[in-house]
Amino acid sequence: MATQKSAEEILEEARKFIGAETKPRKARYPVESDPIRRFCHMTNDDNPLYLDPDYAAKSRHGTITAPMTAIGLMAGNGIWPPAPPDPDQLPTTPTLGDRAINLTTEWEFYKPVKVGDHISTSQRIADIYIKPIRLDPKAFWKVSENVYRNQDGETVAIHRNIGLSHRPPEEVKAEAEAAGN
Amino acid sequence: MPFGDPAHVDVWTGRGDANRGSGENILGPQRFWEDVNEGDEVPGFSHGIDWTRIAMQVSGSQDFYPVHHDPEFARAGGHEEMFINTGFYQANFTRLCTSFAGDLGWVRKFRMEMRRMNQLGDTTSWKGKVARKYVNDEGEHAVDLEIWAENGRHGVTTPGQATVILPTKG
Repeated sequence: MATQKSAEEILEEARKFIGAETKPRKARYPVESDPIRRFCHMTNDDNPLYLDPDYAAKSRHGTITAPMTAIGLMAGNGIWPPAPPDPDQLPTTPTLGDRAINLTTEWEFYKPVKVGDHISTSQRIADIYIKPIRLDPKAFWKVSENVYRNQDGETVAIHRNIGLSHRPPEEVKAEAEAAGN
Repeated sequence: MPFGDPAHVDVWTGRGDANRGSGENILGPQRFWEDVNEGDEVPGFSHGIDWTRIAMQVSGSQDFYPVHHDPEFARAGGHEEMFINTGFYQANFTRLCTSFAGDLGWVRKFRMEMRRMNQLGDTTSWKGKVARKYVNDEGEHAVDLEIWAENGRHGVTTPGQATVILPTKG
C-alpha cells in the first residue's frame, strides 16, 4: 500500500522496536501427535520416533517427539481460530511494502520436545534495516529471535530469522516515475 | 512400512517410490561417530514440487501466506511462480539431518540461506556431506554437515550447515 511517509521515516519508526522483547507466551495447545504427523507427511518423513507411539515409547525419549524445526509450529496458536489480541506480543513493525520473503534461519536445539509438552515463546527484534533486492530498492530487512521453553522453563530451542518485506512491482514503478526516473 | 522394527531404527531417508521422493531406499543401523569420515555423503532425497506437494506443504507447515499456494498472488508480487515456504525447507533439512543422526544422535545446530526459489514444476533435492569430524569443547563427538537444496534450474538454491552429535561405540 502506498504511503505518504518516506522509507527513511518509516525505518526510523521501525528501528525504535529494536531490542523489544516479549514475556514468554504459552502456545494455545500442548504438543500433539497429529500436527507432528502432518508435518512429517509434508516431507514423507516416516521416522518412527515421530510417528509410532509404541516405537517411541521404547526410545530414549519415552514418547513421540516433534521433529526439530516443528517446534515453531508447536509453539504457536495456529491460524484458526484467530487468537485474541495479546498485549505482550511484539507489535508489527512498520515497513514500506506489504509483501514478505523469508531468507535465513538459524536454530540451536537443546532438549527434545515431547507430546504433552506445552511450549512458550519469547520474541525479540534484533535489527531492522533497508537493503535493496531485485524486486525493491527499499526492501526492509528484519532480524528476529525466538526463544522456546517447555513447561518446566527449560530452553528447548533458539531460532533466529532474517526476513524482508518489499513492495509489489507497480508501487516500485510508481515511485520511480514520480521521481522522474 | 517397518514401524517398530528394531532392525531398522534410524535412516529413513529417500524411499524409492513416487510417493516418497526419488532418493535411494536407505535403511541402516545407527550411525556411530567412529564410522563417519569427512567427505562422506549424507543420504539425500528429492521431491517433485507439484500441486499435491504444495498442498502437503500448507497442511504440514500451516503457513497460509498465499505466495506459497496462489500463483496469481505470487506473480502480482513480482515472482515468476509461487514458491515453497520456509517451513518446507526446514522440514526437509530436518528429515535429512535427523535421519543421519539416528535415534541416538542429536542435531545441535542448523542454518540455511534461501538464496533462490524452488517453485511449482521444479524437482528439488536435499543433500549433504560431512564437512568436519571433531570432539567439541563439551567433549561431545560432533560432525559438521554441509547441506543444501538444489534444483535443475539454479543448481544449489539453499545452502546450509548443521552440527550433529553422534553416539560413540566406546
